[in-house]
Amino acid sequence: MTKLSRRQFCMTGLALAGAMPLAGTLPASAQQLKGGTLRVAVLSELANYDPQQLSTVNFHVIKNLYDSLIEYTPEGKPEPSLATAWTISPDKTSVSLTLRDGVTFHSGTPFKSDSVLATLQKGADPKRGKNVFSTMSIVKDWSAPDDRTVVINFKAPVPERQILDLLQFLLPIDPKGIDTVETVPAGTGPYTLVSRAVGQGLRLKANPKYWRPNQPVTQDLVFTVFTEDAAASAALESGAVDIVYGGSSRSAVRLKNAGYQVFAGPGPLVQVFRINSTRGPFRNKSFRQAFNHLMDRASILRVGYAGMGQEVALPWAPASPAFDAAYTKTYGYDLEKAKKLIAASGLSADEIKGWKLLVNGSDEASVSISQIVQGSLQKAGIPVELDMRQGAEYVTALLGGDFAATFGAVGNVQKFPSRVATNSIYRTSGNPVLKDPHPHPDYVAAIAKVDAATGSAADVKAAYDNLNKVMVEEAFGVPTNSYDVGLIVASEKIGGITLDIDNLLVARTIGFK
Amino acid sequence: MTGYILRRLVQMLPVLLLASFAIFAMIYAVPGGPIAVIVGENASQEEIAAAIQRYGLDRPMVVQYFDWLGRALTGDFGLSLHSHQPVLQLIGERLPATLQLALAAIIVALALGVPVAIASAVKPNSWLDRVLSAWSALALGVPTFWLGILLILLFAVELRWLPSASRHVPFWESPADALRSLALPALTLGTYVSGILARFLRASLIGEQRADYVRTARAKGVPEKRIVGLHIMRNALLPFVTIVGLMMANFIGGAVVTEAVFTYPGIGRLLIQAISTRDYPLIQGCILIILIAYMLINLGVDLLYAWIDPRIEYR
Amino acid sequence: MGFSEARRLLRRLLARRGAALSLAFLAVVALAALFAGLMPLDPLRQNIAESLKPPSPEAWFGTDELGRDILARVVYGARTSLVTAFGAVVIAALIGVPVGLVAGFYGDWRDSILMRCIDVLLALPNILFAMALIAVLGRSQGAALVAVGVAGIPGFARIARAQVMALRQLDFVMAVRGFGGGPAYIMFRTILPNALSPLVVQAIVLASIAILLEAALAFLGVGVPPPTPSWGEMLRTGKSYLYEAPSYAVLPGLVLTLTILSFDTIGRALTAIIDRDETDAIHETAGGGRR
Repeated sequence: MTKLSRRQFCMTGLALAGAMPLAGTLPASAQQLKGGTLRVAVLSELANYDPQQLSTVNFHVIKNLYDSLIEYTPEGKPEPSLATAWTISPDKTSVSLTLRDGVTFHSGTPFKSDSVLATLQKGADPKRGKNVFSTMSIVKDWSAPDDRTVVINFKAPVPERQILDLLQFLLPIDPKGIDTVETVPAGTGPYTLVSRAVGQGLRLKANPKYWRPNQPVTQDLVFTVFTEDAAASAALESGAVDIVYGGSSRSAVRLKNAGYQVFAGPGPLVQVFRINSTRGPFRNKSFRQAFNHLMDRASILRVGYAGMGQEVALPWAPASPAFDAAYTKTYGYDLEKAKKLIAASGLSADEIKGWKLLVNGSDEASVSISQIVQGSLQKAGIPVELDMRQGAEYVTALLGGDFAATFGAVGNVQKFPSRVATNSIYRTSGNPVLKDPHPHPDYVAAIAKVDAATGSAADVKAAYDNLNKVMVEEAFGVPTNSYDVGLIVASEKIGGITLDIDNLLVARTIGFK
Repeated sequence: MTGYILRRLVQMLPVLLLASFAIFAMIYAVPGGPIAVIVGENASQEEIAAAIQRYGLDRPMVVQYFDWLGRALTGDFGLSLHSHQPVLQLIGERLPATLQLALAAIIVALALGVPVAIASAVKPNSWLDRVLSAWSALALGVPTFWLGILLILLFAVELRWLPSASRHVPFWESPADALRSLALPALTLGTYVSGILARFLRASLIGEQRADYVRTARAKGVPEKRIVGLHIMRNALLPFVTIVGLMMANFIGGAVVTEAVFTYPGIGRLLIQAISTRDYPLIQGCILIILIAYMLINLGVDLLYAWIDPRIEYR
Repeated sequence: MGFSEARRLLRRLLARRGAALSLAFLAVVALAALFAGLMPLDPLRQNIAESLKPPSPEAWFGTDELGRDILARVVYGARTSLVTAFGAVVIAALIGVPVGLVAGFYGDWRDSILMRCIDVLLALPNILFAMALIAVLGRSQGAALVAVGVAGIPGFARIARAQVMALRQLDFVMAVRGFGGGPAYIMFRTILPNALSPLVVQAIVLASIAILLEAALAFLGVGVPPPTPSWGEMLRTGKSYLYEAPSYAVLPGLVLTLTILSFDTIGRALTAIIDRDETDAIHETAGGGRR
């Protein structure tokens, strides 16, 4: 463990980064872990090797093929990764990064500032930026004074947490491979790609030149794709794999009772009952607000997710700075309150039931919880039908905002609060469901306020409180519960699991006891 | 004979064309193209537009179909819209799994069905015959997915001898693992087929028993065992081979329910996924391969027919 | 087939033990489905606290994942299955029989084309074609009907065609021709009434296939959508709860299996009876020449 001397520590002065020891993320017991071949069962085939395609299907490979500029601990504290130090200017309009020395990409290209520039360029391009593009919207421009330094300038002062989120979201790509990064990985990560059989799995092997000492612990990393959760669990139980990544909560509960280790990360998703407030009775605010009280969250959590997760009335994970447990109580399941709000809406009986609940027929959990809500609505005097669609049809309807109400999970709920606006229903502009102009200007203003809250802690808290209040008042999204994604279920022989803030699979510290 | 084969091959073409166009048109007519699945629900307008451009999905259906057809005729079945891998490669990875299951199921079916049929046919309408016929009826009537569930309950949940869900393990890689994975699906599928085989073979054998040549052989004093073993079996073989062939042909796509029960990675499941994600190139490829396999196997059975029975001649 | 003939057929059917049992079972199922509303069964009432319970005096088949009574859902599920079976048979017959009659009657290029089309339908496994059709039509009772019905067309077409080809040379048909009967009259008013027996058997066989196919489609996730109870859907969900509640999948599956077997048994019994009739008839004509 390297510790900076007192003098060096003082010299970093205004640097808002702590000087963390390099190997600080490895628990002491990890030193005794043995290597070998780690076999992981995953439940989705990956889309591509682009680290800016941060959809859940890629979660098992991203942090194994690439590194990000900074990392977060599970509690949300920033740690150096490919950036060893970062300095945010006092007016919060720019950040200067110091890049790590002695790192090479898998291809042999040395890691320098040009790769960060290329990565930023790709991220800022609406056609190539994918999930990073919306996060880049705060960025004005960037430059590289030298090989080891990058400066990023913002359009306006940005809250510190948001800057850090951006840095954590950037995974440098080899500039020579950036154009083919979808089909050929081009990173600095602890593993390199050996082979891939589409639909079946892929093999990675340890990167001998990896910059973190003693990592990765295992030499070979083998992923097998299972199309179904039951198959993955069966494989774990029969010893064909060591870890199941991304399995269902139900299987996790069962396997836990059977003696397996279950790890749930700090980056859950939140299930949100999305309401299209431009349609039918949902244009009426009082009617929408009734839905805050029509969600039987306890049942939804129990039936849909085997009780793993938390009931929430706001779209935040416990790790989020805007998380507020009081709302869950105040806006709990209450048929009487709901009926009063419905009555106050002044809508006729016909208007109230003139819509259908869109359901993703391919997702078991959605089917169950939609039926639960249907039952609750029935009791409140709103008999509606379910509009069950499969696969492509469902996603198309979702993408086009072509529905009255539906369940849909939102992500990025453990990070900076305005990140929730990357989810379609919560977008402040170009919202596919609510369209433009945004029908809830209060909400748009609240998000903007959060984005501008660069002042004191009290200011920041006030902005978060305001956002929370507006969300339940406008009620175009009614969160019901958080649930785990990227669940790790491991046999007892496995140790050294590292939890990632986004619940990505980090395999470099995993080994056998 | 070669003329006959060529003619049969040529006759396959209109069916293939018609079927591929029909399915393409059908799936295309459905609301919900593949774009949404490709870009995901949080995609921006630009991403959607870019994707539509990239995959040429804004062109009229007929244009897209003929574009696909043109390339297919040169052997290029295109890339899967969803995973960007060559369609033929994806299918090629699933085909061995399906064939392995089909083979295993046929073996089970023969092992179960043939003895039952012979035992029945030896003494028609006896007590044994009636019990075995009831068994055949049961084997045919029980839905494969329910039987599969029962087997999983017994062997996987209760006894824990076998996995509750299968993966594809090529037999030559690890016979023990392959057998463990194949056991339940093959048993499920094979039981169903054994019912068909047993019933058919029984009728065939009984029919043969009444034939003139059998009476002659008996009159000549040929031992019963030889009559049954050699003469009857050989003549009953013909239609029997047809049925086995047809079964195999059907398995290629039709074992999809069994595949679903055991999550066995065969072609049927690939097609279902492709339909669900509106992955046109993959749908087309799978349908075509299934049809081609079906027709080739049929052709093969007919040729086998001719080979077994020299009286049959194709011109 | 007149009324008295039908009654005689029924009596002969009931004389066979298997067929009698099957008829009885089917009658129970049909009556339960028909009068489900009169019984104290609610297939939709949720009770999450009592979910996934095994069979008990309160819920004879146990409860499902939302605490609903599985027996109630099985009874209402019978409606879904029987409606699909009935509808499918109707569709298959309405399309398949005329197609077969026309093809067999003319025997020329019309026969070739129609039979080619039928061949295309046959080349693709039922279930895949049905799934594709449902992908187009969406999930609903109607779509299930149509999808399964289309799968049944070849069966009817082939039988109708075979019957026409066998009967059209016979005297009584020639006679009608002589009197100036047009093709449609001959096909539908002359031949068809005499070809009913194998078609009725085919209807029963198709009913059994239809119930199986509908359940299979539901099992694959494209059947009639929830919360409408459906046997196949119960098997599908029940399978995912196999560890927690084994009876969930087993009991509805049992009812499904018995229903299919019943139709099968009746179909086979009818076939045996009709075959016996034909062989008797052949022996009669061969032996006596009675008219």
